[in-house]
Amino acid sequence: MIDWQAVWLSLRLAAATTVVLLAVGLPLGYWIARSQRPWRPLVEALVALPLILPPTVLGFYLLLAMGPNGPLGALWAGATGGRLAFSFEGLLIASVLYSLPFAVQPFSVAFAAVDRALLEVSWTLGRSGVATFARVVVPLSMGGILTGMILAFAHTLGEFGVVLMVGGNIPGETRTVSIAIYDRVQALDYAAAAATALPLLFISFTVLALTYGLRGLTLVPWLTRR
Amino acid sequence: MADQTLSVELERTYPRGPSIRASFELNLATAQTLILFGPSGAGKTTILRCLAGLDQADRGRIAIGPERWFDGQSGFRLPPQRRRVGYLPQGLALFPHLDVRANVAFGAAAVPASERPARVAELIDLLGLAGLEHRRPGQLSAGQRQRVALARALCRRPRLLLLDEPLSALDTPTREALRTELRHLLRVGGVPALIVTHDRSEALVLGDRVAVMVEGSARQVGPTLEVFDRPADEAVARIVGVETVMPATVIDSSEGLLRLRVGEAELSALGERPVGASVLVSIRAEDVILLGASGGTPTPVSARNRLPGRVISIEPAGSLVRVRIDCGFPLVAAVTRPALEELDLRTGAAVAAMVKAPSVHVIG
Repeated sequence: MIDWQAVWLSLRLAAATTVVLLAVGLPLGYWIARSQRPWRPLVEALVALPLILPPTVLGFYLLLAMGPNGPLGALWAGATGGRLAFSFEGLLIASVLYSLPFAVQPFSVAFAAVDRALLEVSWTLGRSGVATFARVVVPLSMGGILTGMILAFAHTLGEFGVVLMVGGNIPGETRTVSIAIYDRVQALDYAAAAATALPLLFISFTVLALTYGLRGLTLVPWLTRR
Repeated sequence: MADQTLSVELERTYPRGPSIRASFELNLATAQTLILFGPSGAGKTTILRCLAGLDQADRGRIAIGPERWFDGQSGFRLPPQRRRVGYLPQGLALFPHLDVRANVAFGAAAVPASERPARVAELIDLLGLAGLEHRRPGQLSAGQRQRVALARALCRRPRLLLLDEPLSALDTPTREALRTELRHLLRVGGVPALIVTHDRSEALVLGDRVAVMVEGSARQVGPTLEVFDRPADEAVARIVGVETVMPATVIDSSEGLLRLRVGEAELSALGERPVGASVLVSIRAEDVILLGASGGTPTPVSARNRLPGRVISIEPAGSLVRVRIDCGFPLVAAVTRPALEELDLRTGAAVAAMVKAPSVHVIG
């Protein structure tokens, strides 16, 4: 009765989103933490937008962009010949944008806390900016990086509005756990909804409990920022 | 050997702030220590950071012999990675996530890979860090941290060490112990150093030469003793303090009391040093009491040092008068005008100087 296909899809989406956010969020977070540029606040605001924007608004714009006539959709069609809206790839792009602040903010808070003198000493010792980032900044920001990854994973697992707008409800492609549960409730099949909701609750709680237990992390570090 | 003169000519202006100017040279061929001395806010740290390549001046030039580091005219600036300097910021900035060996090895990036292990082992040995290789910085004493920072900086064979207030974060007893050790280590390392400090004892112990920074510019540059003993102008004198600074030898040490030979005279001072040790003594001009020759009372006084001599010169210095006397070594006394008149002092007159033993500061 549990919709295992939906559970598996949600986990896959969350994992892929986390990996992409690691690749995008680490440099972006570092730039936000260190940049002196006047337009930095604009970038910060853009990154934080999904925190307050209703998911349906974000989803709506993404749907327009990913449609066959939208810029993203046209680009995607030109490159792969496929369709972006209502596909797993489209869903992944939407998830990455939607969870961006949940990864980038803990990253940049952790990066900003690294003593600048350590970076300067590393440069004078002959290490490049990239080597300094890999050998000094990342090891000293492990707590924040892990926090960002867990938040991004958990947030993607629980997303609903954006998926509904750009993903639809295609089994095995875009039908995530939250959509599956909503679908069952609409059909008044409460037993199936409960059966699918339970593993999500269990997975989320286990991941968080393990993380807190292992690292003693603070999951909302940006509340204390500045 | 190629020209090894570090020449610095810098100007940096801050919006709404003071401007910083410096101009000096340091010969790196003969390992020397230059002190940038002055009160906080004088621009010392900025100059050090410009040398490390971490800050940029608005105008000027930095070069070692023919090699340019910075040229304000063409906008050229050699990145910090390629300057081959050992930079020790305030607080040392040891990598907290790495153990002692890894901290030292971090400095070996520019050393050929095949020589790295040997170089790291050599420095651990040279700076007495054997047995501590697997400790983290948090598990080290202040002295051990200083040695790790030096080992890390020396690893890539820098041509110049830059130290920013190396001992300022320490408590007084530790600072005094580490001052002597640092001087020793700088000699062992054999690398010329530029040290920023506002502590005169540090400057006297560590520096061969000193540049006194006044309101953002290097006002006087010269051998340490000379600068401290003969400030070029009032501003420098105010910063270094009007003092007599002389080399001395310990001739006796017992029960916390030292007997020192200074020039042709002997002085009593407080402290404990091995007999035969070479030290510096400094005496503030305000702490020197002058006695007229005629008033040579046999009355016993508590001051341990009573030095007969002659007046060399008398110069006004604000509300005080600075009297230089020769009492076996040149000594400066600051007295008030009425006192000068009462004693009827003039150049060539016989006087006696009195200094209490606690006013004779032994350094080194």
